[in-house]
Amino acid sequence: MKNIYRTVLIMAVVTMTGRAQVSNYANYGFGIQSPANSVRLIGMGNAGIAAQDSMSLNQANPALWQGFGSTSLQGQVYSSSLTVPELDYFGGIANFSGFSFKMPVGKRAGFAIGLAPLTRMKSSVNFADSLVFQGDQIDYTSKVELTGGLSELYIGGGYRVSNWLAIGLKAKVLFGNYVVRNHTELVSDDDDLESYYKRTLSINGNQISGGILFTDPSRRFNLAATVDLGARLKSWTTVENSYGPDTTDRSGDIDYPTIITIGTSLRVAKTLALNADLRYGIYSEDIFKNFYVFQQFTSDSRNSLAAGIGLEKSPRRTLTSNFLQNMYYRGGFYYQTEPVYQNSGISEYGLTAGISMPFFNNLNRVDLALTYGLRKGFLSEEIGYEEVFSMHLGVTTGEPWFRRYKRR
Amino acid sequence: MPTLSLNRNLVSFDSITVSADLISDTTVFSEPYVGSNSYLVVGEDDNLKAYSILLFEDLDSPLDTLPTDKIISCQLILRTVCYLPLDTTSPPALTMSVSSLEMDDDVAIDVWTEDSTNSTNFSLDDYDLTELLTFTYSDSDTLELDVPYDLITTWRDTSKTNYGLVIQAAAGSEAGLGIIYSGETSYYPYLKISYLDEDNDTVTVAMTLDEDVTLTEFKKDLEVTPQPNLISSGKAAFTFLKFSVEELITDKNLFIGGANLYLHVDPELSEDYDKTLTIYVSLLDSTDWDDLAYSPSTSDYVATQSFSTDDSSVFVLKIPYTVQLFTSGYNGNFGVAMWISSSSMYPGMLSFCPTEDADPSLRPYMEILLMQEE
Repeated sequence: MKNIYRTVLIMAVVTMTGRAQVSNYANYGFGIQSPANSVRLIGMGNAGIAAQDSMSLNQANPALWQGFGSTSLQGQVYSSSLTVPELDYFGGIANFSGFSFKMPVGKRAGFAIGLAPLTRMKSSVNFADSLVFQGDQIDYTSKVELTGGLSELYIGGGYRVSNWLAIGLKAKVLFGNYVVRNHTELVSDDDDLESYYKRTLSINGNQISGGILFTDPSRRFNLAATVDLGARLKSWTTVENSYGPDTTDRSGDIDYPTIITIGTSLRVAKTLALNADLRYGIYSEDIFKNFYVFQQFTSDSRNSLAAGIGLEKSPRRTLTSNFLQNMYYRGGFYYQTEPVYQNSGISEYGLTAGISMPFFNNLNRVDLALTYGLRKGFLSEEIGYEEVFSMHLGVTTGEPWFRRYKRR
Repeated sequence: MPTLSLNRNLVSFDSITVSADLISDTTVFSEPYVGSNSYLVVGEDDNLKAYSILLFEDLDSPLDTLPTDKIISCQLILRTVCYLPLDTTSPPALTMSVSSLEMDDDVAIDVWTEDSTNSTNFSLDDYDLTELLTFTYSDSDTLELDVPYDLITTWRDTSKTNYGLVIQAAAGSEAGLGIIYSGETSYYPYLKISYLDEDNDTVTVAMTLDEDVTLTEFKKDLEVTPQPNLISSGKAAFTFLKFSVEELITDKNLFIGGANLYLHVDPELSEDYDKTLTIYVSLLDSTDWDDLAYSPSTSDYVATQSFSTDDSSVFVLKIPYTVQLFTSGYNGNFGVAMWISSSSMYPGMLSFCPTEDADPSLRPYMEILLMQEE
């Protein structure tokens, strides 16, 4: 007969400190959103699904993946700093934020393929504690590290049906890993013991996105919409311990959300356009009750909302234009919410600015964007607000391949 | 640095008790002797009787033919350690005798060795003992004991086998034990012989030992019901314990943050001579438990811990790593052996109350601290 006697463990929290390089909110949900947009759109308040671009790929809307002026390869990186004034914290990261390849396919169609990170999770927590076991004090320190995120590999094309209508389709493979490492040291007068724990959560699945673009016959404005259809992703959790076998202790499904975006690009002057997007994410209520990397949510998730508006000044191209006159200038404002919810949600708003510098016969371009955002949420009572300052760099290099030019 | 708000601790702890009904115990008796040891024990007390036998090298030339009148002196040199019990204020008056072990060849007995001799197959009654001398033991000393020259003459006699010397408590000695450095140390016993050579120059040679061993006979009745768990230095007794921890801890990934085995000392049979003993813990394999042919080795143990009955009446053995090996399946749970190194100088006996002790509060049990991360 088994006799199990539970004894009282006297525990006292000594210290608990953490380091969040992206955001203190990055530990929740899928992680903090990564700027997978084109740098041009980031500079316009994350708006621009209706903004055509013949030189660089507008990743947001596959309906725009036609009418390319060049075959090009583009890559993006960004650097972001996080400031938490109330905690006197400053930290930063630099990250790759995707690459893409596009090419025209005849006069009416185009093709694109690319890779982009969608979410990022990176933080660590150190804490020390003690307990009394059978009269002996055991001090222990734990270091927990979280890294990971979701990325997408996409392939798709656009087709101009008529002068006023274009459509596009994008197929995506969503994949990613989230890794939680915990290293604990237990120190007592008699023994020093070390424990190691690693949990890897792997995600894999497919998603289809569609886009449509209406162009005003007078070419004064565009209207666009995209739909990222919800998908059921697969997840596997693998656990490794100091002792015991490696185990895949559970697998499951994740209902990835449907994202609907509508937008417009309105030419307000000959070289000035106003772009505005509204994005709505539809999440299942219990998505973060079932899927969590670090902390399970007890509250229902909320649908996300994002709005952005931006102005873009394009160059007036003449043979006598100098370098500055050939540049694009843009600025914008954005507001967005995250789906995770715990007493309150997470919201962020900010200002953006950007420039583009075409070079070598308008086949190549360097895009720069700066963003400054304020983020607040359910941790605000403890940490106040977060300031996020980011700098994005995108480089597009192209050649006039695969284009058929009319002989006049 | 930001302080994260965490709604839970990232590691959790729990504890369980492995009660006596989930512990199996047995005591393995072996032939009592102290061989391959740094120390020789001589004397008699309430706990045991111990004597030591010494086997010397053969006589080399010219001693094998040297006339007795050429021998100037013959001394047995013994370097002593301490009394047991260790009491420097009033040590017992220990007197010891040195005798030669002899036997006519027509009643031949195999010459003993450290490996072949123990207190159950070796008896002084089987030999002809010739007492050579008696002496008074003193600790931390070099004793130079004059041995009659007859010893050399006797050892030359090829009609008799040389079985060496025996040092034992002399008649009338007070109770107590005396410790002497053995041939395993640099303070080994030897025979110091001085003689005149052909030129009448004085030559001194040292005859060293081939073998030496202490034979111990415990006086108390160690085999009683229920059988106490006994541990004794030398090859006398080991305790085997098996904890059915897998029945309580089924998750192989649980981290064992602590495992305290509580063993209550049985004062009736325990005698540690006021000294701290180092107890070793070794893993057993599938055959050890069944055929009890276990032989401990200091190169093969998973835990050690010091203990003195003066400090506590409960021995708390802390073996989290050993329990982890069992619960995580890294080692088959065939139990552990607890033993005291035979290189220990103290021929003590530790006795712990068994799992079937009449008093449930004295039975062994184990407390385990479990840790789970995340």
